[in-house]
Amino acid sequence: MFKNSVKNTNNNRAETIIGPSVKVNGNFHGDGDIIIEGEVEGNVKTKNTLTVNSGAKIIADVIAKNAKISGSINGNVKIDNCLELEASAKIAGDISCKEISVAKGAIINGHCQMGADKAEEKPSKA
Amino acid sequence: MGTAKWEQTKPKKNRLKPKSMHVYVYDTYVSEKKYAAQIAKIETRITDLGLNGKIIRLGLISSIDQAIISEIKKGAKTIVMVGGVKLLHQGVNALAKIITSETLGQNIPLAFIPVGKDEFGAGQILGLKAGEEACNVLSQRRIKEVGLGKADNNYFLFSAQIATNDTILEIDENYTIKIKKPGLIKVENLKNTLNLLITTKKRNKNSLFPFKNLLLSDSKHPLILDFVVELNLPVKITTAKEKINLIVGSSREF
Repeated sequence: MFKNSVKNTNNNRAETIIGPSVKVNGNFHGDGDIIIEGEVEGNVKTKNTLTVNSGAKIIADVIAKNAKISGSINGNVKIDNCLELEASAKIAGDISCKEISVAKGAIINGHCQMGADKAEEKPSKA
Repeated sequence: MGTAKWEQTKPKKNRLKPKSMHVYVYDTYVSEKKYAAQIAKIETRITDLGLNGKIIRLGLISSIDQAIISEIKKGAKTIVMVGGVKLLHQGVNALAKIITSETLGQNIPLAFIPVGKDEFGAGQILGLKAGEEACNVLSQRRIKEVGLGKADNNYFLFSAQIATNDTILEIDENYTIKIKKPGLIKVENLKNTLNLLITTKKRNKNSLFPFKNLLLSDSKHPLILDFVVELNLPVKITTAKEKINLIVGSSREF
């Protein structure tokens, strides 16, 4: 209710923050930005940006508009636009995205499909 | 001719009615001697501002809900809670229940005059200072419609919070949250959206979740509504359909 009462030391703009002392189980769907620093098992889906910080552990399929990964993901990752993998990122699963940036040290174990717009993915009537 | 006479007399009757009837509900503790001077100043200021009204002393009535219903039926235009945050919580609940069960109280504003120490900062959140300065806010009549949280059948204005250790939360029947470290779960009533804030000591990093339905279970600790009212678990927290009109100060924190 109150301007000064919610003090997020993590990030002020995120709608959802899963902190390092928290474990989430189930289908986690959101419309806003999500920051994950703890553990998630199930599915993660957001219409905006997903940030997985170093130390975070996700055992789930992930769908987001944009993502910046520093933690580990065990599951398929589908990003509409840009996927950024930091040096500490570990992904065990298939990746689908439009653009990708991979830092030295990042680990990917899976297929990577990129460059396809959503429109191009639709099968033609002809 | 008779009809004309009736039409002429009707406005005279209206003139006899007070323009704005305030009902002041006094907390039990404000009758203590140490608050006598502050109450005297409040009453003087209310008189100066022309906001006199009926005083209800909480110790003498059995049901605050019934008292408020009765006064609204008699024409009360503003309900003013004079005392502590627990009294304000009771007033919020009474008004929200009246809105639900009766076709009354839809636009009746609720005001608060804090008396004594603002221990939980409730007055500050509403932009009020204790005592006579809150009377000025009452006079300015800055009304804000405020959404409420609901914990089972209890409404809350400010927050619901509980100390946690291995507590499990279920949100919107979609996912569960397990908190691995001791800390505090706080549901804050942010305008019309409830936010769940989880604070633990680890690295001083919080968790934040928006939600519509939250089921709290598996904790020995009680849930505390509006800083003062305790509820035992399990409790389901939702956004209430009811909204109330609050008289607030310009320095309010929402």
